[in-house]
Amino acid sequence: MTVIDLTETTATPEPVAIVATAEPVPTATPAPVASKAVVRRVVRQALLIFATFVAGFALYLFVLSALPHARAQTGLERRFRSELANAVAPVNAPVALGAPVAVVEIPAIGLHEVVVEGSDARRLASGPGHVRGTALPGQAGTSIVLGRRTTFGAPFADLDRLEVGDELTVTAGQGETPYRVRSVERAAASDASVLVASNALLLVTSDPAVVADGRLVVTATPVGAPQAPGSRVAVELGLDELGLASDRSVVGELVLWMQVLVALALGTVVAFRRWRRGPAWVVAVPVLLAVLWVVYERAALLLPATL
Amino acid sequence: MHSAAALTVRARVGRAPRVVAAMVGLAMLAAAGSVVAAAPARAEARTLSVTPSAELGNEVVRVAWTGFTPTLTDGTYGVIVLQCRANPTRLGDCFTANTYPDPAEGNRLGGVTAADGTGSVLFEVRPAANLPELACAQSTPCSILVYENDGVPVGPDDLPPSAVVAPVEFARSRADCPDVTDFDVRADGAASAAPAFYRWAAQRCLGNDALVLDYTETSSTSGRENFLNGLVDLGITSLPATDDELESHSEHPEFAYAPVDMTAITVVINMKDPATGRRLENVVLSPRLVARLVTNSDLSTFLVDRELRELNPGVRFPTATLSPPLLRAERSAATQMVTSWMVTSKDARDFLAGADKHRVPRNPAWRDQRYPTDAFANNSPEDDQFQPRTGQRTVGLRMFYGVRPAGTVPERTEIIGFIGIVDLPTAQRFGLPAAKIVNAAGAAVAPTDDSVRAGFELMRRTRAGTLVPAYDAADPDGTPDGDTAERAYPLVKVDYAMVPTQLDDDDKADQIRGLLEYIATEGQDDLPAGYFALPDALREQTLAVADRIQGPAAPTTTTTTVAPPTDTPPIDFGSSGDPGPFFSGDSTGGGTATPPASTDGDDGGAETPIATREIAALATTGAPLTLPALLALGGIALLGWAASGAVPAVRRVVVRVRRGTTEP
Repeated sequence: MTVIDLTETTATPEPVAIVATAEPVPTATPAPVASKAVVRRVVRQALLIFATFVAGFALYLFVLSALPHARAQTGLERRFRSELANAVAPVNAPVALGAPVAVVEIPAIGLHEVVVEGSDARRLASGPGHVRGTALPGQAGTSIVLGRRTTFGAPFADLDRLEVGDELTVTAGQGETPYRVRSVERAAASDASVLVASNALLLVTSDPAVVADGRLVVTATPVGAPQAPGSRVAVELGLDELGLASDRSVVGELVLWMQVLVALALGTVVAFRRWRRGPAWVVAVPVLLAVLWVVYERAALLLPATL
Repeated sequence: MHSAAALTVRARVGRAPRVVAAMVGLAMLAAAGSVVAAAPARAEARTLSVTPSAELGNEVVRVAWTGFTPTLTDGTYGVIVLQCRANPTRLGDCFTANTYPDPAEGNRLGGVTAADGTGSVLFEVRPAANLPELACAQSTPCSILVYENDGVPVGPDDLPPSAVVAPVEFARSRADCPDVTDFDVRADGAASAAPAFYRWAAQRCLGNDALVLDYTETSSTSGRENFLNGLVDLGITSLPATDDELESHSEHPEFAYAPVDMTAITVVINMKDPATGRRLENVVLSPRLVARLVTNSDLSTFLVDRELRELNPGVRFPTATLSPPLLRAERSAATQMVTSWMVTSKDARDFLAGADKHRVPRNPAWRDQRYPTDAFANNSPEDDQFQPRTGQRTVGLRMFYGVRPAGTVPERTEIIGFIGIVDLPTAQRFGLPAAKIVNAAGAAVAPTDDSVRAGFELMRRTRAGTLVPAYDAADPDGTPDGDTAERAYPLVKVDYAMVPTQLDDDDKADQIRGLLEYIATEGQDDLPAGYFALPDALREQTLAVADRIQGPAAPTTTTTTVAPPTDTPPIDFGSSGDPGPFFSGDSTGGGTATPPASTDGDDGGAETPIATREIAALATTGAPLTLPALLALGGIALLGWAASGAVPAVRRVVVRVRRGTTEP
């Protein structure tokens, strides 16, 4: 959106300058015609730039954001594997934010994900997140795991295809725990009663895939005895840790990166005017794409966390 | 250079002036040398002290420094205090996250250096359990780092040149124990018992008869619930299970109550005298004033309440107003006890009935609230500033940092005052002064060793055999004399373990027996601040319960009745005069009012992971339409671009068509 501002700020000085110089300079008559054409050209370009920016964001969200997710999962899997092998995987709270706590496997929808501790937008970008303060996955008590529905690899995209009786497995510090799906429910955002269950694993994502104004909650109960509960500590959950809210803390960062992007765009324009096309392309495009990537990454965190 | 000048002088003038010139030159050299020597001396003068600096837990310490550059009015040379690993070599060794209540929950703190180069702050240090990133423990010493912010940015790989480090040592904690995946004994319940249990768990986790003990800090209500559900080995509660609770868990294990610790519930304050900047201590509060707080009744004028002024003559309160009180949201025995004490006062009852002696109106949203209650709630959802919070530590942290219940930034406590309700261990570790509260005999008492002992002497026995405070003990013709009633702190809290007396595992029986014997003996000699060693009678009760624990050798049937462990006749303490129409006169549950029926009773572990109330507040969040709206805008922009490109072409066609129609 700042891109619009950019084009507007670069665009407005021209007609303003013309109007201002209209009185002293006698060549005022052709001005209205020229400014009309300029305005139309600028508006068209602004529309195109905005549309491209949005299309790029959509491309990032629905396709490219799977890359950072996949990369994070590879690292988490490697780390968690070694923790399991050395029997140092976390079983008691508190667990450092972002550390792997369990692996969830659902054969029915081909899901295999490492669950991380913490459930704000940033954590959910690397994989499904365990809500702090609830029991760890696999342990007795109620455990809540949030995951994304459409972006960042969309681990919980197919959660609605689960049926009552489907099996899932949680592998954590105390071993494997088989679960069976007890219910698949949709609930409005205001209906929090679905998050209050007893002795169950709740897999939660946002409901209409793109709109995200509700929750999809899969309740699974352990087959047989769950693992012994670890210790818990009372935590105060932040506003942004129950899925549908965004991570407001990135706003400042996003604004700064937007400014970098605008500065780079201006630089690119200058480069294209002064240099030959070839070198200008080579210099500008990689840098622009890199900064655009960072901007998209931050902007994605402003969307509902389980989107 | 000076000697060169002296040489040139010597070349021109005679002998006597030569000597003078040489002496001047030497003097100048010496002066220059002393200036050079003075510069490092100044840097060496920076000192840092941390008190206390040993046996630390999650608590507040005083960090004081000297020899720093005085802070300018624009904030330059402000001081930053951080908790770090031992011997930090770079800022990355420190916990630099944004300060609480930011979601990152950092403990970084800013301070100011006075003109004489000294300054101090109260700083919250955290052991491994509260700061896994640094994992400070007895075996992992940490440090406090203080530096002044001279405006030069410092990266995570650098150490600021002005940094001074002081080592700190932590008490033994669970982080010093071997990492385990299962526990020998699991306990759950009262937050007020948590610091003691953490200490005992750390002391008992090593050695020949090592015992892996886990404690989950929730509330007495949750402890009873989880014990009766069979989820934990011990439930820690200071009020006995109600008849309803026992009936709804017909398969619960046979159990007895064993006292484990004695402490108190306190009304804590965090306010500064606006004239001197000193913290206010010894503020006196009455039941009526507490009733005004917990009903959110016109709190903007609380600090000019007539009774408050009369009770605290000469005290200068913060200049602006009072924050909404910091209260625990979850159902807890502490809330039950505070409200029980509150409504023993006629003034408080009049206030709650809307007939206040000073004509302060009670918030109408609390009109139908019945007392005593075991949960504080916001009855007027339109006022989202009054917000009880979940968890004892949360309330304690907000009190310490001076953050409103719904706030996101710390306030200046000489402008905004804070009052909250926490237990004494929490008050002590966060350095929060406890208010003197007015007991039924009309005396203002602080929770001291003497007043808590006096309060203990007056305590009454419930039908279940546990002790609860005699909130209304005022008259000298009762069993204890009036003098004790006057000295007595009214909110003494004895925490009891619900101990299963019949176990199907001999090892478990031995472990629980051993733990109780430890708690009743050595455990009482090694208690964190804020506890009082159990009186002998209570220790004997615990040892008696330990003797009753049986392994599978003697099979019995599960029963739902619990025999009182002692032969003291039950005292019906609930019927204290005429409680008025809106107080539940229910005393059948041995002291606790009947709790509202639990909403989720479907199966097994009825456990609510997050307070339902909190979820409800959080559930309606976010901007679900952000992404669709953005995509739609992008689409419209694309259409607009395409359409505007088409305009000239369309116009040309239109013109040509018009010409075609007019010419022939």
